Amino acid sequence: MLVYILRRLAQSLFVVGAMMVIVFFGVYLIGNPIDILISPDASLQEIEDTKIRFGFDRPIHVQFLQFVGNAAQGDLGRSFVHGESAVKLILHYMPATLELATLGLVFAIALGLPLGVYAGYRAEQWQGKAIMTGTIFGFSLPNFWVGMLFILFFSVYLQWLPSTGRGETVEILGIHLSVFAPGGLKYMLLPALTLALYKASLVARLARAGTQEALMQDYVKFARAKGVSESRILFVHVLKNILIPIVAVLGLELGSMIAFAVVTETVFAWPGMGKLLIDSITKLDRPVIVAYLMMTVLVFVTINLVVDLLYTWLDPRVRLAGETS
Amino acid sequence: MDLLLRVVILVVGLWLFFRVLRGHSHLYFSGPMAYVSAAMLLFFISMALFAPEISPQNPYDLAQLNIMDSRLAPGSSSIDQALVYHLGTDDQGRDILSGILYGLRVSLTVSLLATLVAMAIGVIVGIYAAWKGGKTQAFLMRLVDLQLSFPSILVALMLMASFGRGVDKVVLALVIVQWAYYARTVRGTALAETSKDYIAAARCLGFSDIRILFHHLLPNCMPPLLVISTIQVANTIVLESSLSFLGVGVPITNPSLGLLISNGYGYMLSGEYWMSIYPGLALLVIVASINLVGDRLRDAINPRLKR
Repeated sequence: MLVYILRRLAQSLFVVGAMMVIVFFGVYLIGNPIDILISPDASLQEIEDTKIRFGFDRPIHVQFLQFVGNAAQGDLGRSFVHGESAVKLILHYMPATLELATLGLVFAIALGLPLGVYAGYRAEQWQGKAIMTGTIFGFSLPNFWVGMLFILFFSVYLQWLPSTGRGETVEILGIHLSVFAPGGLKYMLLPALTLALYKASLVARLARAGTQEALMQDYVKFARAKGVSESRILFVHVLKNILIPIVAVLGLELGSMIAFAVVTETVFAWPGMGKLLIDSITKLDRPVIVAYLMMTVLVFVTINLVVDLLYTWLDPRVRLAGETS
Repeated sequence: MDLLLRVVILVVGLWLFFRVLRGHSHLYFSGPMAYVSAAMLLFFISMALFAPEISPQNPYDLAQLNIMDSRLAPGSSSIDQALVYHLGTDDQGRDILSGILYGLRVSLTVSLLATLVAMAIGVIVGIYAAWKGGKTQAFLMRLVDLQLSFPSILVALMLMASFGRGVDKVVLALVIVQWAYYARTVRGTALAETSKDYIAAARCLGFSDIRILFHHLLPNCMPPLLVISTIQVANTIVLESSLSFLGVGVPITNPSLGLLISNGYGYMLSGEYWMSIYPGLALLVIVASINLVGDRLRDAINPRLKR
């Protein structure tokens, strides 16, 4: 097991390293930050001074080594626009995104799981087929478009919920959160639901396939023979058995929720790190873009690692397969 | 594009559809949804192909636009009474219907082109990996795994952030995002196919590797690939529109559906819904019909999945 963990850890470190190279050289290609940093009528001397101050005058490999060295100490540069440490900036915006993604995940499970189990139970009847067609629409609907419709219907037409922004937050352990703030959920409801719709379709499909398989097992027949009610069989016996693979998939999906939050946050003007990224791209704020990408890669690699290790721990067969290959 | 060329494209597309379905069309055409989705898809593709002939106005021709006609509600006539704006106008006085037709073109062209190129690259990498085996295969598949472990939107955003806006750049980004899916699928099918007798027979006959790969192996890997690519086109359209909505996709001079939606978004809160809603509906219907057709195709040519 220790060998497996170490090897998996080495793999993750390699991915982070590779991404560092790609991100640095990818972002290096973006425009010329000097143009935005100083006024157009600056003298040549001023341009040179700024170049030296930000280190743009050195050869690119030196800049890269410097970048890696600083990154190892948790310093990914200073935002050109905000004049603040880029990592600090990302960390400041991160909780908003994380709470949105988490609530989205909760919604996705709450919506998708019962629908999927029911669709598996009634796979051949119209209810099952209708739910399956519904999931196709769930996959088809672009994230931003759903968000817009929600705003149009719930905020503009019915005027039930606020259209954009985050509202008030409360500070818990030094982190600002809306979930626990009075009325905070009102602001979160639409964006989280928007984010959840795609994943809910995915969960419904997984749950349906699992349920169909589980219903053919002996324990279901036995439970039926015992006279257990159908709903109890479905939502206690079957659900327990299909939950593990779904939870594993969803663990990985949390990462993609964070990525998709970029779109949702832009639609709802949610002050998370996705919106920060888009603003930084338009303003060519290189350090913030780099910091966002590196932080997201780190989050991703960590999630993958944890899910992998948990899975191996739960299911020794995976580990054995990994050791023999 | 020349009119004849467009007709040819339409015919080739239809031929390809029935070619993939050969022997399975009774499985595909069961139930009304199959007919509806296929008809919808055909309708939208024709609309995009023949946009210059159908649309009431050329939305790129500034001479045809009148700023006095801006932000008119659906159904109102232009100030010179020359035409009726059935779906209203945007802030530049552009007819929304014409905008959608031309936007459809951009969306479809970008995604089809990106899908085709990505498929070509994926096929070559996948088949090569399956054929070579060993270290080459391990390396290429690790690369695929690495890329697929990041969500497509993140990779695309990263690429567009360094490329800047532009139709060609969007296509390039979408190709880079997608090739890995195809490589993985093709490798899977090719591995299963290479162990079959006809490949062994071809080897015994002394055919060259290239000939076996492209003449014997590839045609047998195609059907599942084409089905995936159908669904992948839908995903690409959504991805492209998301990028354009975020302002890092196609340029303003060549608006896709996503950019049209984004342009109208600012007016939606003040009740001028038509600028975003109608392009959005077009996007929704075309993506849904591609997905429905793709879903059906997969079930039809893959009887194993049939219950």
